[in-house]
Amino acid sequence: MNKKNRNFEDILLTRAFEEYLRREDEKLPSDEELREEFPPREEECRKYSVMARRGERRFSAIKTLKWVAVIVLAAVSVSFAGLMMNENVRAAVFGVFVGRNGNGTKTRVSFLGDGFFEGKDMFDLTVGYVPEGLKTFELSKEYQEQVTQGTRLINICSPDDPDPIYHATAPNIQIIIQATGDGWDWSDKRWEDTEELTINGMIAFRDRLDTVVDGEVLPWGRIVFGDKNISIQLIYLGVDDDEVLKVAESIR
Amino acid sequence: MIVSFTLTVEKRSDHDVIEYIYRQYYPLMRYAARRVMFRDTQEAEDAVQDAMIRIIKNVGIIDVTDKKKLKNLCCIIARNCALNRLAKKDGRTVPLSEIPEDAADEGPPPDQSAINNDVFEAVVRAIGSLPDTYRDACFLKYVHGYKEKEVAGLLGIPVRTASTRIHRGKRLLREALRKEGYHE
Repeated sequence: MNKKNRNFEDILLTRAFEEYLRREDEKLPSDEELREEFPPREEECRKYSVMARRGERRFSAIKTLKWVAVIVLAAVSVSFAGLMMNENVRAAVFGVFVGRNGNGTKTRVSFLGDGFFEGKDMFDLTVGYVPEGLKTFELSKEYQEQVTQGTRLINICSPDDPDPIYHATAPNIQIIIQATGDGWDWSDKRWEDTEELTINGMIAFRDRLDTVVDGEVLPWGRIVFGDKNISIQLIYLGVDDDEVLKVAESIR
Repeated sequence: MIVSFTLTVEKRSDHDVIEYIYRQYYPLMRYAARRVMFRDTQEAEDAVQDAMIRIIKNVGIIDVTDKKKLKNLCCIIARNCALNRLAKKDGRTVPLSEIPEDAADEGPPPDQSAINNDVFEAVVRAIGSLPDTYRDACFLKYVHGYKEKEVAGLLGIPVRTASTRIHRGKRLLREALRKEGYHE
């Protein structure tokens, strides 16, 4: 049956039911007769009235509770939003975001804390400390701006072995600086033994990784820190942890 | 009281509505229940009490402005409460299973041009032949305009049962019309 016919049938049924109702009404005894045979009782009426009042009160209480809940929720939301307008509170709440994947490895970290590096261009930063026997190598700013687009690379390594860190076997520190606090995607899940540090008041993380090359254990490490303006990553090989920490703290 | 009530009925609270319904329609509900219960006056009285409780529970969806419909609604609720009590007492349920599933369900649609007084009368007669349970469910749906969920609430039955009663009520009507030579 199509929709049109169904609607038509519904209309027909409604009219027929109304007509049936009208005829049935005519067959009913009159109100007076019914009232005489089954007179309403006042105490019964009061009983039902009381039941209805109870229902009303319950409904009214639920309604009131709902309003209270809405008002409390709104107040909490407004207060929270107001607090978040304050930069210090915001920094405390969102000091750092660390995402984790299923196996517990960190995958992403964002530094939103307040600005140790505020107002600084990443190319203005200097490394104040270099471990003994190592030297700083860096490509020109112009070249880096052209090639790396938003990332500055500094290599601290032996003057005799200036290989990029991923090819190095001698002591080496690669410093990667990004002009954003959005953080790092840690897609390399091999990093382990993560510990939390503080570098110049900023939250930092240090990871370690041992790799074996030609039977020799190469101890890698990484320190990540930053603020809402700049994120810094130091990847190092064969350099003492404390020395690397001093390098990190000397970046101003 | 009743006069003043009808003047301001929409502003009245639930307990006023309930008092009004009781005072106005208790005799009718009692009569409807007794017709089901025959001589068992106590059961009929209990059925009316059930009906009043059901009305209190559903007072929010009851339209008190249309007196004719309100009267019919009270009658339906009281009758169904009585039927429920009777079914419980007899240990039986409404015999839905007695109705063949395939009866006249997929028949051709009514020919609109053929709808005349004869057909209309046949439909009204067919309504009269319906069992009370189906007729009442259909009344609430077609005359009062309630949704199936509301029909279920008013009759104190599951929504699915309400839906089945409406559906089968229509099917029985079609079957009755077919027997009279219509709906072909």
